[in-house]
Amino acid sequence: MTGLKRSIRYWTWIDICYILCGIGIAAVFGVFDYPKESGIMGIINKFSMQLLIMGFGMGLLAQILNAIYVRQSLSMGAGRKNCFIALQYQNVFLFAGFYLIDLFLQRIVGMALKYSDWTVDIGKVGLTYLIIALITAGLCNFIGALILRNDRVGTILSIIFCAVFGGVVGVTFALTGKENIMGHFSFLQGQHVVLWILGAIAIYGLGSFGQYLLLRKYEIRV
Amino acid sequence: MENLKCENVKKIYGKKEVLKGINLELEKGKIYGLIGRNGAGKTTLLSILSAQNPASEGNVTLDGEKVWENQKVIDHICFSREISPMSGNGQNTLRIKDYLKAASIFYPNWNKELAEELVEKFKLEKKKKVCKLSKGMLSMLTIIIALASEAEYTFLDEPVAGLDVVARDMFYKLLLREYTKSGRTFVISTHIIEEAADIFEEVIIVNQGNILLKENTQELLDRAVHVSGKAEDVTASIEGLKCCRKELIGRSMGATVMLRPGEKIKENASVSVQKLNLEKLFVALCGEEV
Repeated sequence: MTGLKRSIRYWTWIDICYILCGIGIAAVFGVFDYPKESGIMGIINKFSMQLLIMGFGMGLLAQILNAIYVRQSLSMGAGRKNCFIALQYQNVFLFAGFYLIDLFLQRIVGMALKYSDWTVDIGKVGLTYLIIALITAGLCNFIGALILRNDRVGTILSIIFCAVFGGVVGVTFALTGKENIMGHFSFLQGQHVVLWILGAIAIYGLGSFGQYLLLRKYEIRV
Repeated sequence: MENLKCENVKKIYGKKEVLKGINLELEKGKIYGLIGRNGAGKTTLLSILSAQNPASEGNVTLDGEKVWENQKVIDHICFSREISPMSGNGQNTLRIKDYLKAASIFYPNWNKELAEELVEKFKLEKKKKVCKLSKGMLSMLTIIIALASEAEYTFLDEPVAGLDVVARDMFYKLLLREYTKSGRTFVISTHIIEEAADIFEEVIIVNQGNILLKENTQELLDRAVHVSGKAEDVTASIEGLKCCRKELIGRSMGATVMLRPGEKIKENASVSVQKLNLEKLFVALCGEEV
């Protein structure tokens, strides 16, 4: 097995743990915070919407918590390049993983239960999700690498980032008052969608490049 | 697999030169003892030899191929680092089983049965979190990873730190068993020198970022002597010989001498000549006047 395959195998194992954790949290929200009049459909709908948030949340959290796993993998012989590629794979695995589980819930389960009013699709919502995922992952890649290089500075930065990110998202949700989470980001689906996509790719590219530079010179210490 | 070589390896952190142009060759199938004072550069050297950290200058090669970022070569090397109960600003909440699982993924020759056997021998609970382990238990985990990796070049950094006398004895026996069975190369960095001296085929002494010496342990001990007596008698006895250290206590003197082939202490009835053990020799070579 090549070094890259081993790194991918390692990060898949870590990512499955993150996904299970995200599903658990989303399930708790689904069960305890759904519109009471809508019954099981409400639970599934709430659960599936929480899964989308978990996609961002776990994607963000993973990069911040990754320092321990990066250290472990590098100290067991993983190369820097392989580790970097595996971290990009992790972004795809987590963001796509949550989205696909959500899509499955809303499409397949929804179809089976003859419920067709759900909003997640691979069209506009998928595109919005992709843009947000690229921006979040790009920023988190860089912050994660900063934490790896300097625990204290990185942690302070990540707390500021999470607080600002959470604050902006929370205020937007509160002001617009929309039920559908993706509805808050409908501006991304407007006439400037191509610009948004290019911008998101640029942010991801820059964040990942910064991550690579930091990872390349990273010194493993006890 | 040929020898692991490092040529003119330097490591600079900021303004501090931790390794100052190290040249070293590790031959296959030997147990090396790597000794040096705290901060001498032992761990830094091992981390560069194993491609865990990059060198500031110089090359490390195995079979003529560079080690850095070369997975084919790295697959033959395991540097089982000291595991910290802390991770960044928090506790290391990974469990023993997580470390073993990660090791089983990354080390191509991982011996699962051996790892299981050692976990039982050291009486470790696999579900226990690393932050809850004692210093000795952390050492046991690094030993298990090193031995079960079955890497041709295996480096252990302070493997016996925190281990009780029984566990240390078990480690030395396990190490010799593994060495006899596989003929792997082990490099063991340790501060408990005398206890481990018998198992080191060669000893490498690192001092202030330089390799002070690399020599067969027995040959080194055969040529190291301590001469003591009246200062003028000792001075006369060791004249022309390589003296590593002199200590004056009143009118008496103690001198550590490294004899070269064919040399011997000049006979003088009033001086006492004693063989040195590795620990005392190390102190003589690297110690400072108080």
